[in-house]
Amino acid sequence: MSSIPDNPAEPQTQESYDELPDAPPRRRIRFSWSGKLGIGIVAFWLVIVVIGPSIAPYDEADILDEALFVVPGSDNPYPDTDFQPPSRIVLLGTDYLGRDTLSRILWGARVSIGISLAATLIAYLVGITLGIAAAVGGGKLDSGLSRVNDAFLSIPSIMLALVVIAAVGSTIPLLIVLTGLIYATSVFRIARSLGLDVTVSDFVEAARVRGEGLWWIITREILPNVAMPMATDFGLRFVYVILFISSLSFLGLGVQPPTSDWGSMVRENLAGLSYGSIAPLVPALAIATLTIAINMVVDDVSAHAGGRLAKRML
Amino acid sequence: MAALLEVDRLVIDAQTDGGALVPIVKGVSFDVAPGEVVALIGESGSGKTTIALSALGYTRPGLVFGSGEVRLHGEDVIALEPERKRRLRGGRVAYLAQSAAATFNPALTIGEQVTESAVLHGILTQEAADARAV
Amino acid sequence: MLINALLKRTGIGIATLLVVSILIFIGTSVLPGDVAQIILGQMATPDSLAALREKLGLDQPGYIRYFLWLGDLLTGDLGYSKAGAGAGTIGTPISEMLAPRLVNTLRLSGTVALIAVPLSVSLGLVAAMYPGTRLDRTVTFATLSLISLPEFLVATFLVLILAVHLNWLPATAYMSGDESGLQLIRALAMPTLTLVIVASSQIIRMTRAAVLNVMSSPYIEMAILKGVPRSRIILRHALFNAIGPIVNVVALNLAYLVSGIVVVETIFAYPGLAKLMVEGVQTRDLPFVQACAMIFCATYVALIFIADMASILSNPRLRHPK
Repeated sequence: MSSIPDNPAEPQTQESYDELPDAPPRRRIRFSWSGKLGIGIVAFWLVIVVIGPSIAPYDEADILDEALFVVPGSDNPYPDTDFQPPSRIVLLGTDYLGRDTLSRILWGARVSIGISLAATLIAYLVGITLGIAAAVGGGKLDSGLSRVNDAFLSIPSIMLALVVIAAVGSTIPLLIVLTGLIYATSVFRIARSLGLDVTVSDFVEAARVRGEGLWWIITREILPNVAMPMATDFGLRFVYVILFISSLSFLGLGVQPPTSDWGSMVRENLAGLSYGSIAPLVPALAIATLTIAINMVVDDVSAHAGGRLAKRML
Repeated sequence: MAALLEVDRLVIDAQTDGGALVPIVKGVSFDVAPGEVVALIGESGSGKTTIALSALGYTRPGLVFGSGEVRLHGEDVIALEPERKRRLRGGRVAYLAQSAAATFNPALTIGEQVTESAVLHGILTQEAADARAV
Repeated sequence: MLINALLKRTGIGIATLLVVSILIFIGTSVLPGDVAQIILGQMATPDSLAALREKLGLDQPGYIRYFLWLGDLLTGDLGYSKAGAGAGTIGTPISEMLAPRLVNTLRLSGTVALIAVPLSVSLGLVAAMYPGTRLDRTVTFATLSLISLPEFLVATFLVLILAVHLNWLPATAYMSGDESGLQLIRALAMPTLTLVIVASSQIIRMTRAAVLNVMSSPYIEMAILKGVPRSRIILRHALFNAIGPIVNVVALNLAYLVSGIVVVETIFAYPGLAKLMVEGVQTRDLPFVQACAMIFCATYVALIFIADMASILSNPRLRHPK
């Protein structure tokens, strides 16, 4: 009769049951070339948000002096300063009032990106809190919140914004809070659905049986598992918010002049198109590069999280 | 007597996310004689269905044929052009899935799906097939 | 079971419309602004103001005003404009202001739908039928890039290329209301093109995803293993199951058009209802904005309803209960 000999020199290690891993193991994300490009562009704009005004050649409200544009040797001492093409003085040309487009873009970055970021953060704060509360709380709380949310989801965001702005006018704080609340509705839905999925899983059951409190369950069991899908959603939501606020500004209902904001800049300089000026194009392109870059990063992250099927859907 | 089906050093690879090829069927060989019943036994995930599907010249998405041959009546089915492969499937080799629910398309009637293959390959007319099905 | 599901969804649809109307009414009543004061203007005296307020029903509590408003709405009386919003003057009946603009907007959206839907559904189908091929990858890449672009960017580029550089089309869509034929086409062309581009990229991607989803079902694999020819697999096996999700996709994107049209009408100065509504917002013409919002929201709710119906009808479990 053979028996497996114990090795007395090695004491049995006691399994520590209270240190169970509660978050899924993280694999390193590998970014494709488009993902890396996307990260680069987003990082670039974030840097501009911080240092933009300091490196801008002119102030955002500076109407440039005609003397700067006098062509040496010509007999016109008072040239037009509006819609000037790009040159050494004004790297991206001037706008409809004779202000430097490049400077306004650099100044405008903090308004456009800052407002959108603030609104998205509000959307997330409100959406996740209420969503997870509904998922974990269940019962009346859940159905009440969900009904209200569905009602708001049935109205196209722009209509809701138009109605509220018609009633109370448009200021930057209002814009941030309004957009944040509008987009909180979609975040609520996702957070609730993810929360529900996780709540019924075994490890949460186990936590409940162990007697863990609600707060502990939310932070240690649920949040680590919903973090990755929510991160991709944050990127997408951020893009929608940027486009939404730019569109409102474009309609003249968002950020009011003379504050430089990319959406308003497109609107103000629209007439320049018939002169072949790039003034309306530059802010539009700024918006586009940012949104496309974020989409490229989000695609990579969601492919990593979703596996093969997600890649196929791309 | 020549074997009906010869699986000869079959290798099937899986494509990982990074594009690398990982062999999951590593050089399997066996013969099936006419009239013989051969059972492949293994744990789940050991590759039984994958090997069986290779007799139809088919790999599931994400899998590719690595090396080796699968010969039906001496002819390698893996190397057939698509149209001949199509005629082979259902015409000379049939596949029965272990889960009936997965096999049937909820949008069509069962009768149509059961008789479809025979009719398309010209083996039976629709009426004859319907009669046999019932 | 099917009838139950359909009835239930219809009930939800009607309830949603009611809730939406309440929300819109509340939204515009946050700051009621004194309609009576504005209508009477300089000639207001305390007595005439009180009389007008009573006539307009402004002295009654909120919920009564809501039901009166709702009743009027349902019988076609949309009220009076508070500020004229560019197509009338103060006190113009809103329905008069609305009607011609609504026709224009319907013309635009109808044209867009007629072009975008067949085009993008076919492209999405073809891309899904031959996944991984050069055609598929081109389509995927193109839609991925276009999807991130806001309408005003697409519109500005189109204006730059087609109107400024090539001079093929006018940059704005000014219409006096009685154009027809070639004139009409020229005026509609750019707004239509912009919306078609934006809507198509969404529809193509979602159709492709829906069809790919169907194509990866086990019964499709079974059909391949039975040696069913590819064309029959697509046309007979896959299409039936894909129709539901495709109708769902189309309806959802048409609903999205409701918001897209606001920017496009503004950028091209297209005399449609959306542009008029924006002007109404700028002039704080609350009754007018209320009426327009109800129209757009009702359309949106109806389209979402159709999308959901398509999903319900295409669910085989509900169609053949046993």
